[in-house]
Amino acid sequence: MKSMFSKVIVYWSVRATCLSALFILWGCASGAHVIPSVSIPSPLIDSFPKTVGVYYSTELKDDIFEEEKKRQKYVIELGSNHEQVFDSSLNGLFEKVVTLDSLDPVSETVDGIFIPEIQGVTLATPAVTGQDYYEVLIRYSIRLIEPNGDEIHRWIVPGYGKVNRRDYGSVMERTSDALQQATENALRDASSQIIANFSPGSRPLAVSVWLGL
Amino acid sequence: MFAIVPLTGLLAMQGCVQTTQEEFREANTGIGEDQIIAILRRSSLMGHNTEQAFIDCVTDRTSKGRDGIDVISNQEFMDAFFPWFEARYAPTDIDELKKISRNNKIKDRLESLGIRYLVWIDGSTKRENQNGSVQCAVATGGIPACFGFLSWRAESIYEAVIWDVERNISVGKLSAESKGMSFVPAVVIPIPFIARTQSSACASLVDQLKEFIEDGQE
Repeated sequence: MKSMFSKVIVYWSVRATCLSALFILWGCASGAHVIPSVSIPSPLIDSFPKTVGVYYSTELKDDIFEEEKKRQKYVIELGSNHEQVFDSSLNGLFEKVVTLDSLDPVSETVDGIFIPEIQGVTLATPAVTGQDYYEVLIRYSIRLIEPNGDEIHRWIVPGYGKVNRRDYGSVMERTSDALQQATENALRDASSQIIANFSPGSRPLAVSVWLGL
Repeated sequence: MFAIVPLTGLLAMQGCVQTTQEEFREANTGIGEDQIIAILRRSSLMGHNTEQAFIDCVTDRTSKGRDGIDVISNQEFMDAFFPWFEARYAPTDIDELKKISRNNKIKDRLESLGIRYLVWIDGSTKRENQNGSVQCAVATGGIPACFGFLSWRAESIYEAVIWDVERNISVGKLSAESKGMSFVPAVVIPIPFIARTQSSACASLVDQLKEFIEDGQE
């Protein structure tokens, strides 16, 4: 009886100590492989009476960001998220948006064509910066051209997103969830900037002329 | 007796927390039965971001209880008004709110959702003055054991700025500040005493907020 009691004590002591030891390992983080799935809401704006085309290159559609930091590998499969950003933003901004399979020749009747490109992705993790945040910066270059190929304007849009590591577990940090949310925040920020670039205060003159305003 | 020790360790007992609160009222308040409030996270691109867990806590607790107020969450609000209240473009003072409220789409959406107050939450929880360490190892016979003493001080400072969108004025500011000391003594088994400052600040801010909005006379 006494022996069985001792076994129970040892059993629970081992479990409790392991669990407690785990609690002390604050902020143990690892690499991550994430597939974001951003959802951009319909913007609360009036759309311009224009039909525009948008061309997504294969590089943009298949875009995967990979980086190794402090022996941890981070992979973000951005791909279709880029299309979601531009489809949502442009559908809010313009009456009609058509996706073009190629740029030459332009088969659809459109007033202008948007060509988004990815310029780069920067990732910062708490392990590297010593701060509390996972940060993602996605830099887009967006060209607006006439159907004949003449450039109307080119924007550089830096979409930035960050999340507080404290929202992702203090015992076992959920790095993948944190990175996914930071990426989705960056994509959402990019969308908000694309829309804001067409507001009267931010719109370049050439774009106003193209819009007929 | 020995069986009690590991069980106590599992409970992660609560350390001492001291909370102070402040209220600054600029105008009288009150809320109709068909009106709601929006609890929003004040986030800045380059500065700190209030923890989502704190915003969720305030949202959840404000809408509950006999004195609960209907709340639209930060995410629902941001989606409904996209992109006007995103971190990059959100109004930072009442004059900016007045400007964007001239936009009929925003005005109509605020009215249709019945939003009376915007409550901007800002702040964070910081862990500082960490001292000591606890080291764990597996001893002979495969039994893990921890030894040492770890302590830190946690400080949760949050404020809520309240705007009345019906009158386009700022009606006041509330703040809650919780401080506490956490420590983990370990002699074979670590026993954490955690000061739950964030939870305490949340409870304090919610109590103030409900009282401020519902019973608010200048």
